[in-house]
Formats: sequence, C-alpha cells, structure tokens
Amino acid sequence: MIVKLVDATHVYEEQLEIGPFTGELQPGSWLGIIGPNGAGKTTLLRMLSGILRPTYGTISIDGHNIYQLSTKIRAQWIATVPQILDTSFNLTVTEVVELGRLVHLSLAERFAIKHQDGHHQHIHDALSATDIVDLKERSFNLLSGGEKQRVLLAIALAQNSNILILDEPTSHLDPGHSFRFLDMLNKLAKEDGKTIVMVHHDLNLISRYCDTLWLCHKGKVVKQGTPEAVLDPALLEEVYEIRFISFSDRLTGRHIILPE
Amino acid sequence: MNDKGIFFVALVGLLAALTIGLIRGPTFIPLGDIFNVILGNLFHPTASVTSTIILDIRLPRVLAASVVGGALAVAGVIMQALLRNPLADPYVIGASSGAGLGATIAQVFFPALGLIAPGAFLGALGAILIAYALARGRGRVEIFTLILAGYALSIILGAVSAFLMMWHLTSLSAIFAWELGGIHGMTWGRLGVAALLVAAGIVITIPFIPELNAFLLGEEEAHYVGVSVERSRLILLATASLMTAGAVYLSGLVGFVGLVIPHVLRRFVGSHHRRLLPLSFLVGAIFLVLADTLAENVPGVGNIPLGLVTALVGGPYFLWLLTRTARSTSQKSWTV
Repeated sequence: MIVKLVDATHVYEEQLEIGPFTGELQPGSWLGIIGPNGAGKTTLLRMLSGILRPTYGTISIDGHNIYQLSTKIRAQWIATVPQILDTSFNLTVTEVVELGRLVHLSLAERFAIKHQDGHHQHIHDALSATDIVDLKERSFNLLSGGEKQRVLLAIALAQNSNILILDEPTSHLDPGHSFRFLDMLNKLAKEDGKTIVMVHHDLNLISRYCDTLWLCHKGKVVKQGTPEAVLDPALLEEVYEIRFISFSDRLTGRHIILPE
Repeated sequence: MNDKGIFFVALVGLLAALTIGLIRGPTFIPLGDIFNVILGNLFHPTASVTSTIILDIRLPRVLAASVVGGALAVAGVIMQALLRNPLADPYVIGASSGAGLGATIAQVFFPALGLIAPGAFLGALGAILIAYALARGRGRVEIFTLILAGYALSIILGAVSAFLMMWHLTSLSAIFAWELGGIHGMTWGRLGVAALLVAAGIVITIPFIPELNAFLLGEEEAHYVGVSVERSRLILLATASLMTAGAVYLSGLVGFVGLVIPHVLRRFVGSHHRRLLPLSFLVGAIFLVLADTLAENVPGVGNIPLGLVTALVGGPYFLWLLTRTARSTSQKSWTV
C-alpha cells in the first residue's frame, strides 16, 4: 500500500497552520518524524491516523482519500499505537489485544453465533510477536510501562493492517526495552513489509532504524531525506536552538550526534 | 469457575430468588402449592384463591422486579463504559427522572393513545443527551460535572413531573410513591410492554459488545481500532434509554441498582462485556427481586417502598465509591 500526502495541512482555529506536508511512503519503508516540541509532529500523525481532518490537501492510500473511507476500512489499513493508555477498568492483556480484531468481526460473530476463523491464532501471533504471551492472563492495569507499550503494539498487530503509526513509542521505556521494541518494529517493516511512521525524540536511535527522516519546524517540514542528510549539525542548531556536535564512533563507525 | 459455570450459578440464583418472592407475602404459600398452581395452570386453568394470588399478583410482580433490576444494571454497565466511569448510572445521571417525566407527559396530555412507554423512552434519551452535553467540556466528559448536572436535572425533571401530576389531580401520596419507586398492582399487560422495551434494548446492545470493550480504553483508542465512535455512542445511549424507560415504566424511580451491581461484579469477573453484561442482568434481577420481597414485608413494619431499600443499600455504596474516585483523581493530578 502506498501512502501519499499532497499538501496536507491542518489549520487550528483559523490561525495556527500546520503543514503543508507532501510525500510518498512505500511499503516496508520506515519514516521517522523529528523536530522540537510544537513543530507539528503530532498533528501530522493525527492526520495520518484519520482522527484529524486536513483543512486543505489530501492524504490517500492507494488512491483512496482516507477521510472518505469508513472508520472500519481505515482501521483495517492503518493501525495507530498511542503513546500511553490508562483505564480504570480491569481487562486482561488478551481482552485488550482482542480489540485489534474488532474491525474484522462479522454480525454473526458479534452475536457469538459463530466464532471467527483463526481468531485465537491472530491473537496468539500478536502476543508472540510482541513477546507478551506469558502476560496474556494478567490484568492490563497492573503491567509496567514497557509491558503496556508492547500490549498497545500487539493491538495494532492483531488489527493486521499494513500501515503502523506510532507516537514516541519508547518514551516510557528504558534503553534495553527501547531497543528490543524498535527491533521488533524493524522486523515488521523488513520482513512483513509494513509501512511505519514514527515520531521520536532520540536522534541517534531514530537514525539507526529509519530509512527517511522528516525534520519539522514551526509546522513545516524543513528537510527530508536519509538520516545522514537530515542530521546536519548546522540545520539542527537552527531548529532546536542549541549547538550540536557530530562524529563517527570509532568502534561501530556509526554517525553520532549530540548536543554540545 | 468457567463462564458457563458462572452463568449457571446466576441462573439458579435467579430461580431461587423468584421462588422466595412467590412464597413470601402477606399470606404464606408453601412451595408445593406454587409448583402445583404454575404447572397445573399450563394444562387446565383453575381460579382458586391461591392461584389468583400467585398468577395475577405475585408472579407478575416478581417478574417485573427481575426485569427492572436486570434492565437498570445493564443500562448502568452501558453508561459506565461510554463515560469510562464506574459512577455513571441511570438514576445518578438523570435518565430515570427523564423517563418519569416523559411517561407523565404522555399520561397527562395523551391519555387515550397509550404512549406512556414511548414517552418514557424519549424522556430518558433526552435527559441522557442533555446531561452528556452539559458534562462534555473540551473533548472529554467531566464526571463530577456529569453527576452534578444529573442531580440538578433529576430535581428539575422530578419537579415538573410532580407539577404535572398534581395538575392532573393525582394524589400526593401517589406522587410520593412514584418518586420513591415501587412495583405496585402489576399486570401482565404492563409487564409485557416493559419487557418488550428491555428486550429490544438488549438485542440491539449485543452486537455492540466489542465496542463497549473498546470504549473502556477511551474514545481515541476506540477510533483507532475501528469503532465509529459517534454512531456507536448514540446507539448505545439509545439502548440504555430503552432499558431505563422499561424499568421506570414498571417501578418509578428506583435508584443505584445500575451502580452497585456492575461494580461488585467487575471485581469478580472483570470488565469484559461478554461476561459482565449478561451477568449484570441476572444479578441485578436477583437483587431487585429480593429487595422487593423485603420491601413488601419488613418485619414489624410491613410494606415499605422498594426505592427505600435500594437507596439504603446503594446510596452509601455510591458515596464510598465517590470518595475513592475523588481521592484517586486528586492523586493523579498531584503526580502529573
């Protein structure tokens, strides 16, 4: 599935303009969105996930404008992983992950007249891909931040859509869990051909995983390209208003960028 | 215990409660006679005193109590999921008073048309939508605003109902009995109308069970997993109104059933609606049949309004829940 943005712009209360965003996302590609707070990253994600309507321009998937799709079809094509989710109700991990199957239920299945084919297999696959099979009977409320984050990804995987949207998915995770989580996503992009769009604040981390970066500033994309091209100290200094240094790590040869 | 076991126990409990309701009353009727009358009448109807008491007085009354209890509990479950708060309940947010006003208007202005049931439904739906609109600030429903709005609405709608009834020359004691809630002089016809409303509500709710689960995680997440949030919410508010209307039509304003029953059940069976919804109906029915049996003959006092029993059980429980919610909310705002 190809996602295409053409001048997608959202205007808040006729004043604050976020966009226009233009670009094309290929299957299996991983787009990282970076930029300071208030740059419009979350607005872009919310437009992509179909919850916020562009004031001008269009976002389409294989030629279909995503705002003209029914909520159901849209959820079959795009899965959004929220940053964090809290609920005061006690549901088990399996019951939460099952929500990902909601869009695939027929009327007979909703009346529990028949069971969905492969229902348990889909849930199991989502649980094992995110490494939470052991937690499946646990109460979602009592999980740690890292475990919850994996459950949220598991919902999106159970949804079985080709496009995954994530807003700072590792903001509650320690470095070990962050890497494991991003490795998991990388596998989904490279092996299953899922298109991933992710907002992230860790520039070094994101440059290791993403194919393309969009650097946002004041509601516009000021630079798009490969991580090497976008993570230019002079450009970052302009956007983040602090000085950066960049160097190549002698052991790994990786390009590293740090605030000075 | 697995799901089937739990449902079986609840079903047996309901049958036991119904039987107790049939046995107890101003005149004691032994269990054997009850079975004889009910089974005997299936084949050749008789008209003894005992069979009149059982078939025309007690049986419709206990069945009405179970419909009221089940309907209020299910309406409570739906409202709690939509508002993501365990404090929501038809009585608390003003839906019951709305149903009461709708029924009263139909009775006073269109007495010949038999519009009481639809009037109650429209009244309940209108009250829910108003309370919801009042409490909906900046994209989320503020629960304390909702409770206050519901409280004010209940008083206003109740006052208008009382005024209309007085204007219609209803006696004060009849108005008082209505406001306190109770199942008096039940007939099979009235029970049938209410059962129809409640059954319609339940049948429409069942396919929305996955949506109810999704609403527990918030409207945004519900949207992401493919719920048409606006449409599902409207349908579910309408089904909750149907059930509230059915209950109010039978019993007047009985409070707190929709609050206490789902909350207690969640502790034992979790929040998944495939279990919670049917169990709430069964346990709500058991609770109200027993409460009504108690209200009918309190030792030493005699007959008291059913609403008094549920208020004395449910009111303190509501306050306890309210302080707990208030505490956890304020703690959250401290840590943020």
